[in-house]
Amino acid sequence: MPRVNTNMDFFTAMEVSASGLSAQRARMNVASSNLANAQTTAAAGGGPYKRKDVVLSSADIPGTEGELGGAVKGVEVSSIKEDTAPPRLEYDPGHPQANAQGYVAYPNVNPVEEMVDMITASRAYEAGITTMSTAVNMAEKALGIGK
Amino acid sequence: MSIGKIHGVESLPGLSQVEKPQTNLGESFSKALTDAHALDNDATQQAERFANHDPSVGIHEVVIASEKASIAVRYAVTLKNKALEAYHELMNTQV
Amino acid sequence: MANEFSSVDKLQAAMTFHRERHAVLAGNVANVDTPGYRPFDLTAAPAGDAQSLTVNQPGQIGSTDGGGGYTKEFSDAGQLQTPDGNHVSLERELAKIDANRTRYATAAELVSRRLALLRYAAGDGT
Repeated sequence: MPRVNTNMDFFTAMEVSASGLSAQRARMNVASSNLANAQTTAAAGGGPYKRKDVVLSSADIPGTEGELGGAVKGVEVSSIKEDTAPPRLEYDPGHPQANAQGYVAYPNVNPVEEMVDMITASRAYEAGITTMSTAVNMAEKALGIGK
Repeated sequence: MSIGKIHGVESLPGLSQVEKPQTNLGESFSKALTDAHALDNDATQQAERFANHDPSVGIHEVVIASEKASIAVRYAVTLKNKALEAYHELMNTQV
Repeated sequence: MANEFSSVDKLQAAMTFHRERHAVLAGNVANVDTPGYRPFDLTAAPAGDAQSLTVNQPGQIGSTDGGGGYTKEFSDAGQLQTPDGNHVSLERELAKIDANRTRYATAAELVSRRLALLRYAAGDGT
């Protein structure tokens, strides 16, 4: 029989918000890493750095499965996957990493896209902070009843 | 000249709508004590469950239960004081 | 004495509803970038006899508060979706969260005022 209330006060709501903050931080970290390695032609394991993406999926907060009919969902990073797009080739025969045809393979990173990802992640992070503060504010209002 | 019969007060219109007051101080006090006891027990239990992280008790539930108990106890005490006052007045009446 | 608290009980049920709804809306904010996610919302069924919810309709959730049931629903009607199927509008969710918070705070305030009145009456004005 699934529980029908997400009680324990605002615990569930705050865990949900916390999961969102973690997920957005992961996105920011990955975007930073992509930006920092935009010119890395020789990554560990050979070849140019491969761009990475964070894959998100909604997830139940542990211990609250089935509450409110499954309407309360947190988020988790289900995986970090490599972008399979081919590397960007630049003609530069004098470069140490140039291949037989004189092309150097650069990472498939578009700095503008990475900046946009960082900005949206940052905005979503701020929204999560606001939401968590609201929960705290509501709990304080309850505490003030009768004062 | 005929003099009409004098009717009793009972025939005055509207008198039947006036009810005798139902309050009996003793009964009210007894009920107030029962209520206060019940609400106080409930508040104490909720507080204990809250302290044990029982998911069914949130902040507003436990605070409201505590306030209700406090008001009910106050009410019972007030009735007790009134009853005591009435008793003393009675005892001081010169016969 | 128990009857005097009936409006307080109703307000308490409303506060519980708003607390639950906050959790649902917080979930929408957390999933603003999740592919394929559709935002949820809760609506309170008209507060009636809790015993009348004998059959669980799809989507209907009972309440242990005695204040009627809640219904969960998708709240993305007419919403734009991103190419990965996400339907969450951050602005809309934040606006709902703020309105929900206001209702919670108002109910708390009304409870306080009602209790203050009863306390005054119970203490015979002293």
